[in-house]
Amino acid sequence: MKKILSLTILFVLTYIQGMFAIPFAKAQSTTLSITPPVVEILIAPGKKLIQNFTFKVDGDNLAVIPEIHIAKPTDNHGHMTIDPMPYNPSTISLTISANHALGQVVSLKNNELNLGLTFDAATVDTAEDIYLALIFKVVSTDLLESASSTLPAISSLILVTINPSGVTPIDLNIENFDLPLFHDSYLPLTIAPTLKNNVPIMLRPRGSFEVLNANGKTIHSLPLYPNLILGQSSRGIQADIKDLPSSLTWSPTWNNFGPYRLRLTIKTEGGTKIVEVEKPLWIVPIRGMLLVLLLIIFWITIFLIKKRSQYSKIT
Amino acid sequence: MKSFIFYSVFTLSLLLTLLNPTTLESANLTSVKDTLQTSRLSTRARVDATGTSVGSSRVKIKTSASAPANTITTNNLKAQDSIIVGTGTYTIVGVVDADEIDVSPVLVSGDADNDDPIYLKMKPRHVVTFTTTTAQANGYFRVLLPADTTLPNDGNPDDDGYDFNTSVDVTATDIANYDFVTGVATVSGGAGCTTPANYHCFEVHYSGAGAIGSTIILNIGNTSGTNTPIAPATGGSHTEGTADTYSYLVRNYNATNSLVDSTTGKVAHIEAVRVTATVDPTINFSIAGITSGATRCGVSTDVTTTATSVPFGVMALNTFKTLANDLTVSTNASGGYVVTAAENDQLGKGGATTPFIPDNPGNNTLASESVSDEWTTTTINGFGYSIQNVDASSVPFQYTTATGNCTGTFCSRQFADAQASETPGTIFSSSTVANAENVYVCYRLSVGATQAAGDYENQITYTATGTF
Repeated sequence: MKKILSLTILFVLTYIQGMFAIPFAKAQSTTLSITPPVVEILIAPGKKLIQNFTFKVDGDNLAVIPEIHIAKPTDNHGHMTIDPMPYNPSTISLTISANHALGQVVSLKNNELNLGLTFDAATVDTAEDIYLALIFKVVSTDLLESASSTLPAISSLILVTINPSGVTPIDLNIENFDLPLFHDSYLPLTIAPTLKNNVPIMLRPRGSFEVLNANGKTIHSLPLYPNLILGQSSRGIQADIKDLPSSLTWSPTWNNFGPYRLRLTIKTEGGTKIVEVEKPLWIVPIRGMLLVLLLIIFWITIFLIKKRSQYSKIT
Repeated sequence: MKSFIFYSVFTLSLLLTLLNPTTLESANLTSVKDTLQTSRLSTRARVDATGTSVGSSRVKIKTSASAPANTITTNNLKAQDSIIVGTGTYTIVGVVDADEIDVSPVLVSGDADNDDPIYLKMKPRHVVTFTTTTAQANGYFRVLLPADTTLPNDGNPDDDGYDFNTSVDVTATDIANYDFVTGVATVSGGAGCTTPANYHCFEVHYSGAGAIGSTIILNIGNTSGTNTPIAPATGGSHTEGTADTYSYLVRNYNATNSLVDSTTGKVAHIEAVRVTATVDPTINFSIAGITSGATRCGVSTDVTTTATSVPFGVMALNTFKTLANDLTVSTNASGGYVVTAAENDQLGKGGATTPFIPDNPGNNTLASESVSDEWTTTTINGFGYSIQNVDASSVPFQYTTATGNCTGTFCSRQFADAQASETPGTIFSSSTVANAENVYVCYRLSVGATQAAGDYENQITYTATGTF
């Protein structure tokens, strides 16, 4: 009996010890998503606007910290750099409130968080842009036991224009629209001009890229992708191919020869022309000419060799 | 008795007539149908100048009918339709509401006046098929489509029939006993096309004996819309969602121009059903652990990582340990995405600021959060990272980068230090939509003999951001 009792106690103790010894499961993968990823807001001073964001995460034992940071354009491709520290509310002309506490850990319901932000625009005299990023940082509720840990985060850009007059100032100029003097008609011509926005207000212009022959007739035309250009920044000019941005490319054909002009026209969304630049370019079949030259040299060489062998036979 | 004889003779006479019935000269062609390329109605509406102006892309249509302009809503229009407003041709870029559309380019002078016409011209090819019931040698078939009573050939949609549209191609497919020649189309009221009134005539002649039970196929118009009748616009008593039906005739004439067989068919036109769906732009960012022993950044990883932890464990002095994470981004936003990384501070003992394991200086002590440097010497201690690009559109550098300070074995950088207000560094990015683009981030650590013993830790934040 004693033996049975001691064996039972041993079994129970072993089981309990085993239960406590089970290591915590660690998520092998964490997937985050946010909708919408970019929000553009045009608001008048003194007006209020509510925008909802949906954040989802796949993974166990996770919570989230929503934060708002200042963002600024990084390059010509529309990428933003987010300030590593949360924004200082006193530095912007916008009061932001949320239906969940910002900067604090928020538990998730069904691995999802719906965050509503209310934007109150302050009174300003002139149009002003504010660029923000709403960041959701995922934190694990498991104990950390590593030398380094990673925090997956995802953000939504919030691009705000506070405009008291309703009139958007426009000052754009085309840069880097440089063409070679000659271009081989065998090769496609790709250009990468940029559009610089000289005012502090974001703008989404439209436009077209045209190639004109010597008679002024348009032989190739592409609509420009309506990229957003943030205030005081530049953006690469791209073509609109099936509603997606694509490089500005023209592939000349074998019969394109002579002087051509490449024209970039930038317009407002309403169609008013803002700026137009035209650059000349000569299309020359350089490879074709080289080929002909090589053939000529080849035939001359053959001819000379033949002539020499005939001469040596005579002598 | 008399009446019995009378009725008997009468009945017998009737029965006798059945012994030699007269030949039936006219019968119905069977299986007659007109298959339209599209059954969509044309549109004939009017500009409402109260919501339409020169230089604007917005077009407002009148919500009251005035025959023949009976279209009073935008329900038959959709984006990318080519329409005529006034006299100009425009493309619909969006349907705003029940009576407004946006067009491109913007409206020019003369196209934004009150009551200016708005036309959507639908030109469906008609494929008329039927089966013959008699054999008529060297005859012809004629199809009659209903025409407008007033302007049946002005090139604009009509409200009570097809517009002839100047010229129409008519063809038929040759089969046994029917060798067709190119057909002839005649506008309603034209020579030989007056009876019945208000029908356009489409005629194909053939040579051959003809046959009973042959299936004939006639094509009126082309799939491209050229030389094709214009479908009717909204009728005067039209109810949206209910088809306007029109009768057409198919006839077979013999060699002496006598009508032999004839059948009436029905063809229906109705508004297009505009199906709309909204796909919200979204961005997905995934971070996954990698098991030890996997080859990443050209080396075998030493310890298994998870999505949230990079556990280097116990370090041997002047020895590299390399761990890795798998980062993946998908987005349907046309602007693309960027993933940046920053550490909260350098690896600090117990998470404190000091003592700490410094960020990787690189073989040439030139590495920073924005400058790459080769890092292959184990006695050069620190914490840094490299990247192995799998299929991301753009990465700032890779472990194989062999330019600048790197020779291509383990090109590395430091994580941007938020404590030092360094700008987060880009790990990978795209300027367009992305489907599961991923990179491996390889963490590397080496500590020297002078490093104080203890547990060191920091936090690296990866942030995926959509592109504007």
